[in-house]
Amino acid sequence: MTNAELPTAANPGPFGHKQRKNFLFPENYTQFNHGSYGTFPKVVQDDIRAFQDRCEQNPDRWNRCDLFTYMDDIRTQLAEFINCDKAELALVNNTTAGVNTVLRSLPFVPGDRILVLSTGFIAVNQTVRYICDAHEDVKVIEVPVTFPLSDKDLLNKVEEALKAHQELKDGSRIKLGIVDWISSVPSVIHPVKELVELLHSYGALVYVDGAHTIGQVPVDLGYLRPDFYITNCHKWLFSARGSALLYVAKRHQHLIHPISITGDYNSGFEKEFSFLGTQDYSSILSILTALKFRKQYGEDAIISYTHSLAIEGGKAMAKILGTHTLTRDDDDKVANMVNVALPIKDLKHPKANNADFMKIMLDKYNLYTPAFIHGDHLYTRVSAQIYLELEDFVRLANIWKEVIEGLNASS
Amino acid sequence: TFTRSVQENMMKWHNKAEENPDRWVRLDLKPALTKVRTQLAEFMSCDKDELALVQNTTTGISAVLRSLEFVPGDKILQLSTLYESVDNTVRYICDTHKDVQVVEVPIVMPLTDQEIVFQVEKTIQDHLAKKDGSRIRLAMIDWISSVPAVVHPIKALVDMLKSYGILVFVDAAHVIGQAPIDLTYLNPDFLITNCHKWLYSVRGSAVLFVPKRFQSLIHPPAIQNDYKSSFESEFSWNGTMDYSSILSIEGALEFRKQYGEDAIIHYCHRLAVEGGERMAEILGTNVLTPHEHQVGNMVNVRLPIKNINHPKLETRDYLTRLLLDKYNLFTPNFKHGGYFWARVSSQIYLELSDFEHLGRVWKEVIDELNAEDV
Repeated sequence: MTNAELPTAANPGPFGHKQRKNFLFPENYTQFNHGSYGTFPKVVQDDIRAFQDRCEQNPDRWNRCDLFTYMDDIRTQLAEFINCDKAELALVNNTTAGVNTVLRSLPFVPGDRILVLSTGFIAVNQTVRYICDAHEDVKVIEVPVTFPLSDKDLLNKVEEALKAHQELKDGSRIKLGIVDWISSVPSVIHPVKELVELLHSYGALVYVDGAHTIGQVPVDLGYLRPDFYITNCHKWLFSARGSALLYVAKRHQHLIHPISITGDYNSGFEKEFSFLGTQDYSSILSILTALKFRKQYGEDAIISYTHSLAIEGGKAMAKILGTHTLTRDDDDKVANMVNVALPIKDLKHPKANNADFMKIMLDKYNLYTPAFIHGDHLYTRVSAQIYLELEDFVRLANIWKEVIEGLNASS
Repeated sequence: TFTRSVQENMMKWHNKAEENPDRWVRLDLKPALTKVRTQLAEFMSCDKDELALVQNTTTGISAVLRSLEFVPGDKILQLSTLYESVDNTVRYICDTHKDVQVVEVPIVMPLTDQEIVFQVEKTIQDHLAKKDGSRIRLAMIDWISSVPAVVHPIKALVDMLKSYGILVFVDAAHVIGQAPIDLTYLNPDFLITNCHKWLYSVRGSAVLFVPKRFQSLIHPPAIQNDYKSSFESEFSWNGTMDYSSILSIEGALEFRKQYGEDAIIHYCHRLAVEGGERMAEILGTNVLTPHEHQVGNMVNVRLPIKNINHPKLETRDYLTRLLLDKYNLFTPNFKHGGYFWARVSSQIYLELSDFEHLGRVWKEVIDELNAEDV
């Protein structure tokens, strides 16, 4: 397909509501928050059941022989998908596991510093906190980030923090930087290639938190060249929850061990990560069917539609709400998730919190989008997907309008 | 493996999540997990807040070992028959800490209960006699070991170890559903057990016991949002994954209630004992354990191989392929104490005739190997 033929919000092609029948949604439910826990098509569920049945037909044959053939095949396919060496990939259950795998393996010594951004995912920053607690004189350097921020300004902020650390001249060193490729809340595409190069230029290792990347943006690790990278397949690739991909550059593999040590300790990276202990591997295996499902349409088509829908949907919502999107006209900063400002009068309203909004959204409207305060605004993050259309965003905006007006009236 | 009813239970949870993933994860999941913990706490005679649901024994072992703060001079005691991944985790701890070492108790069956306790105590006393400033900090003790499968005198071991001031981590991977568990009575410092082994839940469901006095020290292998808020919250969410395996514990307990634990355990145990004897008769050999109570549901039967160094026994590959491809069955087989053994698991879906069939299969396999001129 040429660019002119790729599906968009205005010309959905094979996408939009017609996709609903491929998924598992009940009639009265619309998924606006694919970014948190994802969902998967029926064909993926069918194959999950098929794998589970196969396992029960002969658990020894499955767990001692056949399972590994499939796990290997997944790594082969994903290596091609993200342009890296298969031997640098390990399948894990989720980003939390992937981040802990690396952080709990690296031999931090007194004087090491770990750089993070304030907008990093909470579980990641908590893991860094744990590392600091569990090691003598290992500290975190947190770069305060408030969006909207241009790429240039973001890079400057990070470089300022690196320079400020250098000026300390206290014998400490920035050992590792952890950067989002696409942050969670707010959801913003970062200038990740430049961030990797910047941190490398200051002698720091870089862990790219790509939790939200595979299936949402093209991933080319041959180009990006991070030291470590993690991505969730169960977010945007349509596999089942509990399937993620960890990349560890060969030069670091001798240091990295799984969070749960198994029978293959010290047998080499690939072997050590080939088995995660006894569990139901059908979530991980569902990656195969997810890739097959997506191949029907092609990555370009899927990404073109979902990105276009996020942009147009965000604009439509902002218009109805009388507000703006976080990233304004910077379409490059939005992939499939758009942050729309909500017209709350009083940011400090006691009910203007995610927990209370969630109750209303789920109980009254049977839908949910996360709400959060960032900078001086209250935003909600909406996830575009192939089973949504522009009119869904319009409906969502009117619902949020009603909810916020209700709060504004009750100040 | 698990029953059809458990499979249906698992699918019920699986489907529920897709109806509204946000509602499921953010509102409904934790209460469902708490319900499972409550049921297990009653089953195991402990407080539900002393239990954490994890994926498997490997995870539970890593959670505790990677959380404890070992210092130079600490020693970790283990039995030579411990499970490979537990051994590796202890080795990992030694590799990543300065001057933390293993003290291994050599265990070669057959041994009686008293002999096992004696071996462990002797090792401790030998260590004390060294007076080198080191201390045995922690002991990893199997309740029912894997290969060979032996029911250990666990209460005696826990009491004895604690009397020396040693923390005890009971690897009860094989226990829940195979032997009654009473944590109030046993009172270990840590215990891990797999529900997906003998309880009939789906693979990826295990439970870790950490008494309140240690909870502030113990974190999951994967730190998440709730770090430092409480043991319960830290272990209540393992990141985004499919929790239906863990939730299937509910279906498993329901299935077993139809018959009662006593009935299930009695049948499996008697079958293991009699089945083992029958197999030994067919093979012209014997079972590993001198006393019946050392057998739970798993019995180790000696295989009459003439040459224990036969090249086809060097790795597991040859026999694994042969058993699966030619006979469509499998039992772990291993060397221990200079002999070669098969470990057979009895279950409610087996009968004596199955053990007889297995005995004849193994006889054929071993006769063939013995006929080879090696």
